[in-house]
Amino acid sequence: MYLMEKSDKFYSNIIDLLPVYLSIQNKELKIIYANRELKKDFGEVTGKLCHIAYKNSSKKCANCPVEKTFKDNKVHIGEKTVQIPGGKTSQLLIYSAPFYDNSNNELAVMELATNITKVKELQAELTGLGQSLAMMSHGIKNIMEGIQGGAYVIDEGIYDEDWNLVKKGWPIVKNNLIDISGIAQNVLYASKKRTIRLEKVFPADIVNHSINHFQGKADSHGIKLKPEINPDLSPVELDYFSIRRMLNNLVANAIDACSKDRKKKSHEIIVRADIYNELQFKFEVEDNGTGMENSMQKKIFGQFYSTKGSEGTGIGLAVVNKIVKEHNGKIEVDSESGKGSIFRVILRM
Amino acid sequence: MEKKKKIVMIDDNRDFLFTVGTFLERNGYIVATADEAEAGLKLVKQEAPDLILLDVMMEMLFSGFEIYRQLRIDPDLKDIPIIGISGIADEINVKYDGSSDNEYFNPEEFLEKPVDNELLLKKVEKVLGITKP
Repeated sequence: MYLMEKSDKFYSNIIDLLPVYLSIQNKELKIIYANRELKKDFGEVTGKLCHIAYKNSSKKCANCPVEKTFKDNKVHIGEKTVQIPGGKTSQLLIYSAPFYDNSNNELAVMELATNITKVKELQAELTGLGQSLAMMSHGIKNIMEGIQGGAYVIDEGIYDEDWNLVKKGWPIVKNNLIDISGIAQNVLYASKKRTIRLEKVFPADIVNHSINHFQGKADSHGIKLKPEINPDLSPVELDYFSIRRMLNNLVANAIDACSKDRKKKSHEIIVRADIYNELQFKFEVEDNGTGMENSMQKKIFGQFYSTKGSEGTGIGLAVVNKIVKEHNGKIEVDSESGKGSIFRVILRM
Repeated sequence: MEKKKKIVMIDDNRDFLFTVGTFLERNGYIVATADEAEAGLKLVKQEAPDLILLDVMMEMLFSGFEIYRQLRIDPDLKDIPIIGISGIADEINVKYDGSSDNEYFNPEEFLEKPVDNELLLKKVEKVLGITKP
């Protein structure tokens, strides 16, 4: 073949060992030379059309850089998504360059492709981080507005010695403080790599802690918050702090779902700890708030997805999901729009 | 003494209604609030206020935009001035551009959350044609 005739073993070795996919293609985009790396991942591609070799597609890629180089004899850059046989989808960054023989006649085009899947993944992560920061700042801004509003009312109450007004303003400040501390703890939890520390814990303690933490907030929204604990449930091995965080996030969401619901006269949240089967037990948070459409239920555990519009940060359930996974547990959601939701976390006893 | 002006606030955030409502009351206005769209429309019909403060991004099926439309097609209510309030600028990273949505949503004034109380007061006075000495 053309290239082999011109180069000695040394150069051909270098080309073969380059950690990139290198091919030479003719005008029909047929691969007339492939280096070893390309053959290693995509099999014997020599003689195949480029798009068949890389994507098993009968169609040419849109904006093919090789075709552009054939047209103008210049170097072109492109990106494409390919399917490594038996492997995963990869993103490639492609350079195409004209390939000449000794008398400077263009014979073919050389294509050099680098796998940039990792770079692309990082890019997606960074984009996600940007979005998350925007959502987070928005959530925090809303909370600050609540605190400022509550503080204004308290100030006026103090000024007029109107204690009734002070009493109305204080829960607004306090509830927003609970919210902001929840966000801060979730951010810390989501960003840290930590190993869980198991200890013997009474699930009842976790439920009662959550109830105590949110009682005031629930009261101020007129929501009944009550525990239902199976007394036969013995202590279990859990990471106390992370499971507490998980349950707090679920209860906080239940309160939001109830306080946004205008359809029902009264609202109730039940926080349960119960035996699930011989090997497992469950935490359950049931509310009769707004509930969710089916389509939403699939997305809620993803980071930075929120159903709460301007008032969500999209981090709470992502953290719940992370904690449940760390405990090798399972999470289930039964929800109906307009009726309410049950979040069930099933863990080993 | 001049008669106190009446303002109806429609917003699904009850804390917002209470804190901003208190602020407006303490600045000499009569305030009535609704935390839900349908109740809001009813309240406007019942109170015939001088001004409506309307959250356009209420997270409900029956949104602030819909209330706006219904207010504007009702011959009895269509002349009541509206100050639209929203966190929309942050939501989609663009400033609300009244010009492109004029037919759809064209309130007398527009404010973004978080609402600055002093700015709100200025806009309320402006819309109501109140000139401070």
